[in-house]
Parts: sequence; C-alpha cells; structure tokens
Amino acid sequence: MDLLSNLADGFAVAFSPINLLYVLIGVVIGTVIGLLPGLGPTAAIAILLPVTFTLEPATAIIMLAGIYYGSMYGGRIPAILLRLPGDASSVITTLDGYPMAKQGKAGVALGITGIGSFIGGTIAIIGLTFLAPVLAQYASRIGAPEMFALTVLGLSMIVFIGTGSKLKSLSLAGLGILVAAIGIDPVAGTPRLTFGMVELSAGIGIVPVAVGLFGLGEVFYNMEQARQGTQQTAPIKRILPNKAEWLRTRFAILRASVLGFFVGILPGGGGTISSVLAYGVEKRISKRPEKFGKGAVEGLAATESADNASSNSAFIPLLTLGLPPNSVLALIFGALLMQNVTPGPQLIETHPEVFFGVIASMYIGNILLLVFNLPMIRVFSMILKVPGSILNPIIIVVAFLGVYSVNNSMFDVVVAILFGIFGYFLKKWKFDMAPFILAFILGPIMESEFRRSMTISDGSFGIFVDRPLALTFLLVVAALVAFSVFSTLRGTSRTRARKVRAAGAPGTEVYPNVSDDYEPDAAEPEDEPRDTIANTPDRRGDG
Amino acid sequence: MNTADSAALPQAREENPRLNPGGHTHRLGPLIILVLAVIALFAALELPFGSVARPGPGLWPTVVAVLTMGLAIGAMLLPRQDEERFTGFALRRVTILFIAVLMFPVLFDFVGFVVPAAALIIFMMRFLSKESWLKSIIVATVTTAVAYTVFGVMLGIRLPAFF
Repeated sequence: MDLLSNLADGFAVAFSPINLLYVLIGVVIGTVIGLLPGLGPTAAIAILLPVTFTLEPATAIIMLAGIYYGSMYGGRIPAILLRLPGDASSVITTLDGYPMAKQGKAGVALGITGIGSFIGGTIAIIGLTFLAPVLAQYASRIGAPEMFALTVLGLSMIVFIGTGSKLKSLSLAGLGILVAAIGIDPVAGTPRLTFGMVELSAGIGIVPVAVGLFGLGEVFYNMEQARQGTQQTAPIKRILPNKAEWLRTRFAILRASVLGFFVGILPGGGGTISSVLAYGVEKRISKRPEKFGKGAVEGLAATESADNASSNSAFIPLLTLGLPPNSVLALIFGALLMQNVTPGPQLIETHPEVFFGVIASMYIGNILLLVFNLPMIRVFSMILKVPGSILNPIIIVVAFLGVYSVNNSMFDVVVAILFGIFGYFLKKWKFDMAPFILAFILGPIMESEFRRSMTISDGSFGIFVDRPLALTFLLVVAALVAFSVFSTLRGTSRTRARKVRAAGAPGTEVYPNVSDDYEPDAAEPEDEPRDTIANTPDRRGDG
Repeated sequence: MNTADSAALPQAREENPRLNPGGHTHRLGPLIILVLAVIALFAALELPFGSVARPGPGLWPTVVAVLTMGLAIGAMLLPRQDEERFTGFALRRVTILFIAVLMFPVLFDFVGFVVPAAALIIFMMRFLSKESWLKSIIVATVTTAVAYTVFGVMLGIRLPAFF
C-alpha cells in the first residue's frame, strides 16, 4: 500500500535520533512554557519559533509539533492546580479540574488529562493519516477563486467563533491584512507601505509579530501588577485513575475524541469550541449532570480528549489546503514558509518527508507526552512555584534573543516590542488576538488568489459565483455575517439584562457552579476565564 | 477614600454594571486601528491602482484599508463591554517597563548583548518587583550567561557579547 509505505518512510524520518531528540526537547520545553501562568500554546510556539529556523524543515516542524503538544499539556497544569488557564481552551479544564484538585485529587486530574489527551490525539492522528492524503488529492484541483473564498471563510470562522465583539475582531483582522501587505508587492515586485524605511522593504516577519503580541504582550500584562507572589498549589498524590474513575471516563474519552476530530477539521474548530461541545455533550447524557463543575472526572476527561483530538485534526486543513485554521497553526504555517516549504495540496508531492514526517512525529509526540510527562508531573508543578518576578524578565530576554536570531536584526526586536505594547493594550481592551495573526498569515494568500482570480476572469466578480464550490464558501460566510448581525440586533435589547446576569454569576445557564468558589483577588489572569465563560452560553445558545 | 475602598471598587463595578461610569477609553482600541488604517490608506493611494482586471500594488491595500476604517468606526460606536480600566498605578508601571524594555535594542548597538540583558533583568526584578539585590544579580548573571551560551555559542548566532 502506497499510504503505508509512505507512512513507514515518515516514521523513518521521525525516528532518526536527531528528530527524536528534537521532539523530546520540544515536548519538555513546550510543557515548561505552557505551564507558566498566562502563556498558552501560541506564546510557547511564538517564543520557540526562532530556535527551529536553524533546523531542517522536517526536524523543525517535528519539534514544533512537540512544542504544541507539550505546551497544551503544560497549560493544563496551572489550570487544574491553580485555576489559572493559559488559553481559552483550558478555561473549560478549570471547570472540573480545579474542583478535583481542591478535593485532593489533583494528581488524578492531571493523570486523566494526560491519558485523555493521548487517546484523543491518537484517534485523531489515525483519522488524519487516512484522510489527509485523500483530501490533498482532492484539494489539488481547487483553483484560485475557491482558495480566495476559503481564506475568507477561514478568517470569518475565526472571528465568529472567537471571543469578544465581532466588529472589534473584524477591524483587527483588517489591520492584520494591512500589516501583512507591508513590503514587496507579490506581483509587481515594487515596495509598498514601507514609508521609505529600508528595514520594512522585506516586510514584517511572523516572528516579531507573534512574539510581540502573544509573548511580550502577555508578560507586560502580567507585570502590570506589582504583586507576583508564589502560588499555593494543591498537593499531588495518586496520578493514575483507579478502576471506578476509568470506567466512568472511558466512553466519555472515546466520544469526545471522535467529536473533537471532526470539529477540528473545520476552520477555527481546533481547541476551545471542541472542548466546549464535548463538555456539553457529556453533561447532557450524564446520569449525574449535577456533578459537572464540582469535579466530574468524565467532564474533565472529555474536555481534554476533544481538545487534543481537534488540535491534531486541525493539521488537516494546514497540510492539505495550506490554510491554517487557528493561530497556533498559523505560526507553524509561517515557520514552514520560512523553511521554503509551502503547505498545501502540493506538499505531499514536493515534500513527502515533511508531510509524512509530521504525521509520524505526531504519533511519537503523543506517546512521549504520556510516558514522559506523566511521571514528570511533580517536577513540572514545582516550576509553578517560581514567582513571576523571576520568570518574566527571563522570558523577555529569551524572546528578544529568539527574535534577533532570525535575521540578526535588532530592528525586528524593536518591532516585537512595539507589537508587545500593542498586544498589552489589546488585551486590556479585550480584543481577541487570533483574528489578527490569522489575517496576517492569510492576507497575502487572499491577495494573490484574488488577483489571480481577477486575471482569470478578466475583472469579473462573476467568477466567485459561477464556481459552485467558491459560491458555497462565500454563502457560508454570508450566512455567518447575517447570523451575527441578527443576533447582535436581537442581543442589544437584552444586553442590559444579560450584563447583569453575566456579572453576577458567570455562566449562570450552563455552568452553575463556576462562581461558587470564585476568589476575586486570586490573580490577574482570573479575569479571562470569567469573560470567556460568561460569553460561552451566548455562543452556544446562538450556535 | 482609604485603600480598602479603592481596592473594592473595581470589583463592585464589575459585579454591578450600573456602577460603571460612562468613560470612553474603551473606544481607544478601535480608534488606534482607525488611525493606522487611514495612514495605510494614504500610503496605498500613492501606489499604482491598476484596474480590477489587472490589479496594481495599490488596489488590495486600498480596499482593505477602507473596509478596516469602516469596521473600526463601527467598533468605536459600541458601548463599553468588558474592557478593563487603566489605573494610574498600572499605567505608570507599564510605561516604566516599556521604556526599560526599549532601552535594550538601543543599548545593544553600543555595548552588545550582555550589559543590556543583565541590566534589564536587574531593573525589572529589583525595581519593578522589589526582589533583593542579591537575587536580582544572581538571576541576571545566570540568565545572561546561559542565554549567551545557548544562542551565541551553541546555535551559532552572531551575537556581540560586549561590542
């Protein structure tokens, strides 16, 4: 079989000692950065991205995949032990994870998280192994108008699924496209929007932008408060679940894995939305829904399995269409471009070692996560005891070096700092930053596909309507916009009532227990889960 | 107003929206986007526009800038939602932090990596986080040495240590 022999080649790539070493390093460092309060997978990848540029393409993406898994798992540790989620999707982790930790079952919570992630990830990778090559074949027949429509759809999905005001997200996405347009015009080859600055003629790189927005901005936000004392973490005893816990969770894990896999393929589907859905499903079919939010192990397991499954299947649109579905994969996309590898339908032909190497390394990364991170849980949780006053300056210096090392350019560092300052304010003003980074990555693709379409059609916009697939994508976009406008108009009349409800008890309808032991003065990032949770019922209700 | 009151106030405001005073600082974010989009529009208008059939370098940025301006204006009109407020204390702190951080690339051109990196860490730990001198100096020394070894030596990046 062609597929299996290719996969075997992929394993040969992934199993080379150097690649194994890098995936291991990636998993460990990713876990460490991911567990730092406030820093999620996007920040972890952004900060470590420059390090991978010195590596071969296959090795680089294998290490990035390791960082991705590691940081996702790492983010679960403060979410469960301290109720400090580093990203939106680990907000759902805190719902049952933190109550479990308070009941003295922190170890089991972390253990079942690892096991659920492993099973979810593995199921998704098996699905990806068989689905991705088929889709890549089909995707190679997609033309410029379809690609343009698909980028518009991908960007719209990120905006409409994301948190916060849609108008704010959309305007930020527009800005992302404009920032990406700085540099050399892709067709005419002339500089544009450079304002006469030589440094800008090569354009602004993904690294300074991502490190600034997601790394430095986050650190600035954490540093805003003077008080950064050590946190009291719950003690970790038993890690492996007992038989009763396993029996209670096994089907939840399976259901959530399959659900997560399919949700992850959709644009914007990786991560948060899948964990919210899986949590909702388990709660609905559970015989004891009243336990959810009070330490239901099956709720936690489902969340994590779905999250990891969707994060893995999110690689499908990236590898087959060249479309990153979320901000983490947008960074991986940027990393590949800098390696002169263009993800897309041709990837499987031009760089089969990357395509199958990545898939093989995902299997390995997942296994490493389980066999390596589970025994290390106690060590990792000790890192949480290092106060932010020490960690923040170290992160800044490492981030500077990373940005500098890409082009040996201090100008890039200045750009990163400016984006860090911008990111700090965006965070204060509750902008969802994912649309920016996705627009920044998708902008140039959008533009060149648009210009190509216009050349094909000789300037007629009919080309987007005449081709059924392009039309379908654009109709979905139109439906999203119409739906959002409609629900906003309907919502404004109820805003006042909803505001009172959301402020009084976050997530009154869906997660009745969240606010029970809410500690208002615990720490700064506490604000995030409250907002996300408060928004969740609206999004679920509308969708 | 004593300190207990001022600490309790933001919390009370969050819990009861009626206590929220109007304020327009939440419009600053979209305003910044609007200003940047206008700047981009002026830069884009100087470029050859081309035609729809043969788009020039200016067409795409012009269209996107105009769309962004419209969206930003729309976003500016939104009522305050969950935007955080700025306390004078926090603003002063982050301003000092921004200046300190921006000193790094400025100094780097004159004295290389080691001094600005160590100085930044010591400044942040000693003056912004009130750690002890000893602790600050130890962390700064170790971090700078390890970072230089990893990036400058092991990864082979051209990183001037002192000049």
